[in-house]
Amino acid sequence: MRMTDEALETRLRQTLHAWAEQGTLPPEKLDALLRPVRRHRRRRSWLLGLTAAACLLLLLASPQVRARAAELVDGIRHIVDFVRMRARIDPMWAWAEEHQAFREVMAEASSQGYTVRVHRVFADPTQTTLIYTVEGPRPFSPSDPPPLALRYLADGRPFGHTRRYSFTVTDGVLIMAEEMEPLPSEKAVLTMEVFAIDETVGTWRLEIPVSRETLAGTARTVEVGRTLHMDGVTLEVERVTLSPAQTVLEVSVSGGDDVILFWRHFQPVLLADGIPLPSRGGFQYAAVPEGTKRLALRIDGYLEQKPVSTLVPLEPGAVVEAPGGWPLRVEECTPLADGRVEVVISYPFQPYDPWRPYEDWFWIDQHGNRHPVRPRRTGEMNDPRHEMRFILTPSGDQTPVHLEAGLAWVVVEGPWEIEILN
Amino acid sequence: MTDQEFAELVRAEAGKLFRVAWGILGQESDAWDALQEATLAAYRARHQLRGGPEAFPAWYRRVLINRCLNMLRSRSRVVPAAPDTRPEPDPLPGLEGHAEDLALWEAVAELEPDKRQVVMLRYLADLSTAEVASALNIPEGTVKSRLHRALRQLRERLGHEGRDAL
Repeated sequence: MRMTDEALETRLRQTLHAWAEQGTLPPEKLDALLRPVRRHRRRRSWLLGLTAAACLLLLLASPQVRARAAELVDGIRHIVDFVRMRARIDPMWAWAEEHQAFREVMAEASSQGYTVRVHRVFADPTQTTLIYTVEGPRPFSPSDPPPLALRYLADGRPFGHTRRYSFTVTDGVLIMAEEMEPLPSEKAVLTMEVFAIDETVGTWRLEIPVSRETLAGTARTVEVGRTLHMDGVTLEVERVTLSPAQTVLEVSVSGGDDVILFWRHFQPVLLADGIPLPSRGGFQYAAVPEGTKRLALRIDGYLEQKPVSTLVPLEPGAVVEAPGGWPLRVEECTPLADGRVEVVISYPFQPYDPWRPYEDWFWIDQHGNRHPVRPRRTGEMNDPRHEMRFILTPSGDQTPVHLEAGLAWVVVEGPWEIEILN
Repeated sequence: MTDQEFAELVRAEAGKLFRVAWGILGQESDAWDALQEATLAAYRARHQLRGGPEAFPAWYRRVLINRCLNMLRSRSRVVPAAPDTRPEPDPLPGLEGHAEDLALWEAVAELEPDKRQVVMLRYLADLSTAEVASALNIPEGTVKSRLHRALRQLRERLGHEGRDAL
């Protein structure tokens, strides 16, 4: 029986994708790949060479838009539900909802079967939040929302360093909220340019006049400039902005190679007269209550990547209690037909954990010689266990005996406290 | 997305994307250039990505493919793919134990460069025939006829090796 064109095409696609999936790069190539990124990082503040675009006001109150609004009743209901849901868990959203600070917007752009709509904007001296929806030719799956590539401009200049976003998929429509830095001026025309939705490349361009004039007098920024020294890591609180909607700290961290301050077991705590303020994630918190006398930041601990020597015996079922608190379990150790050895190690994973708790791996032969090896990590954000898959390539009489990790994320326990205002 | 997250995501994806670029461009050195450019572009634009780390692989792949297509367009040439630089089948996991897949891969690797290029763009990069035509600056009809001839040649090659029953 001859293979049909369709079957051959399917087989071709599967074979080529399987070939690509097996691709690996040696550690030195990966380092070379990331080297320009590190260089770029050092001078990144001036390297966002985005071209300014001409901005025109979108006449949001036009009759066409009003007519369109009538078709969007369901969409608006979804937005209302979304805002209420966020307001239940986030103090800033709760304040904005309660004080009707979200401004209704109705801007949209459609192309190639996809429609992007901006529904609401909340701008104050501490942030700018946009709520928008994306609809596609087919309903999106809640478990697999489409990736988007986009950028923002404010009066034609680069804008939109997103501090956080939240999203949901309701009735096949992606509802997204993005919280960005404050507008560069009291009012601006915000341009949203979407370049890709899922794997569809195109242009969806929306322009939204935004103002924070009505909330301009509600916030104040205080220069702090105080430092906290913690076991070789220094944290400086540069300034704090206090508004009725939230409190935002600007903080810099120096010292230590890599440091994670926000982990599942500890998050920096902002204390108002000794009482923790609800956190919004990052260095953002609920508003400071009126009459507060003293504001302080407490750090209970952090993760730092440090050199270790963690030996893992190549015995299925073996469990190693390694530094950092991620017990490693050897799931498989399988000799392959060509002489190589495949080893699978699993470890528990929770949100906020480092994606790779251990790095710089070697396998060790019976003579004690160390051979570098790079695992392939598998696991999604919500999986309770992640895996590392190693392929060891012994030659001659070499027999792999152990795996060894050279770097681990290690807990450094505090607490430390720094006074911000008194 | 933090720098640490970005680096980890790149480490997880770069190997396979290197092969995607290699397949499209036909030259290992070009693939490396494309991957480097795409990685830097992805870093610069990482705040434009919405959907979190889970969205990164598809997006990074798209950035890379766009970069490869730009290289194809700007160089305006047929990929020469000298025998010593064309992508080689991996003798390793994934294809091992699947002799039919390996045979198919080898048949693809032996296609003439112009045919192999459209096969890679269509089935590895998952582009439409119109996108392939645009990338190569040739009419869409030419893409379709090359694909048709490539599929026929692959089928014949597999048939000669007694794999008609595939």
